Amino acid sequence: MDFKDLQKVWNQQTNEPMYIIDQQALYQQIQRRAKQADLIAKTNEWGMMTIAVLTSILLLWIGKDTAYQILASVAMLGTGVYVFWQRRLRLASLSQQPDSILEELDQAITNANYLVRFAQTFVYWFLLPTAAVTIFRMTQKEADPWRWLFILGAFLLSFLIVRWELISKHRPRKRALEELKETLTREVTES
Amino acid sequence: MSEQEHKAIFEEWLHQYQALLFKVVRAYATQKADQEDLFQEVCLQVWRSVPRFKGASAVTTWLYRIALHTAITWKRKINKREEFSILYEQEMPQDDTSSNKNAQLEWLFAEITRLDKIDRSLALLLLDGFSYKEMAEIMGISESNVGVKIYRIKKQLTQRAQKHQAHGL
Repeated sequence: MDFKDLQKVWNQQTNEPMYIIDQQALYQQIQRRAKQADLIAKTNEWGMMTIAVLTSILLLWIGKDTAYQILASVAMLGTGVYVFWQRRLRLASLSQQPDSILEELDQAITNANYLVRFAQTFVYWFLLPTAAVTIFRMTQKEADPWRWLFILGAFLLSFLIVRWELISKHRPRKRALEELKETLTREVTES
Repeated sequence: MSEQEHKAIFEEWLHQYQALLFKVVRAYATQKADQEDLFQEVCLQVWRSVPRFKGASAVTTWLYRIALHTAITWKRKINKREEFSILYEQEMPQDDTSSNKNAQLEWLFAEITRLDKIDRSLALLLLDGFSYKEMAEIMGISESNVGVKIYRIKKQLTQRAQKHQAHGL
């Protein structure tokens, strides 16, 4: 048996579908999932930007206009701008049309890198400025030890969650994509 | 593109080319639940791709690329299953006269699923008569790279076929 025989077996396939598809249910499911994925990304980004801008405004509004508070407000606003910039980069990468599977993989790797970098730098662009502002305010108000414990615990928890996401989700995804790309391109150099 | 146009194109593609999508699904998923899951994922990606299709390539080439890429990446998250049973009402009945034909085809699909993720894609494209140039375009690798992989895939499949035949199966 040679490959032509295998091709004959393959060509015996008809165009009969394997299943009867419930078009309406499929259509609804697809629309729901497409919207869901977009909504998660949008919610995350807009949520972060809103928090940053509102905190920044609030700091200026309720504060005593000290240099520290203006600095903290600017830092928070910078966080919002950073998220906005990252969002624009993400949307730009989505609008570029890949012409092949390899290009799609490259795009997927770029997106995975984006998420890895986002999680890796979370401490610097969000956690540290937020913690600095909060702790600064608390030192001025002489907060009780329970409040200190709660606030520091919340920051620690958010740090751990982002680290967990980075280690268990984003990095393995990125590695798997890179391995796929390697498998796809390896042959010629090896042979 | 209006939502109506989007939906009309998607439904037309699904109607005309569902056999192509099923081939990819069968090559990457062996269990029925997995096939349903993958088919759902492929349809989602095909749906998303409709506005991006500018007609630069044939619809079959486009759909193959979308379906293969989806299948390759889906393999990584195979454990994550969702319930899609509402999408399928019943399996098509198989008649007796086609049982031998189906047995050979089943064997071929089984052998294809033994190949690695990337080779599976190439095997499907090869069996469906795509040229090396087209395969290289779909996969984004050089023709010589495709040639090397195809040579190995052909050798592997024919060796297994001969073994299968020798055992009288």
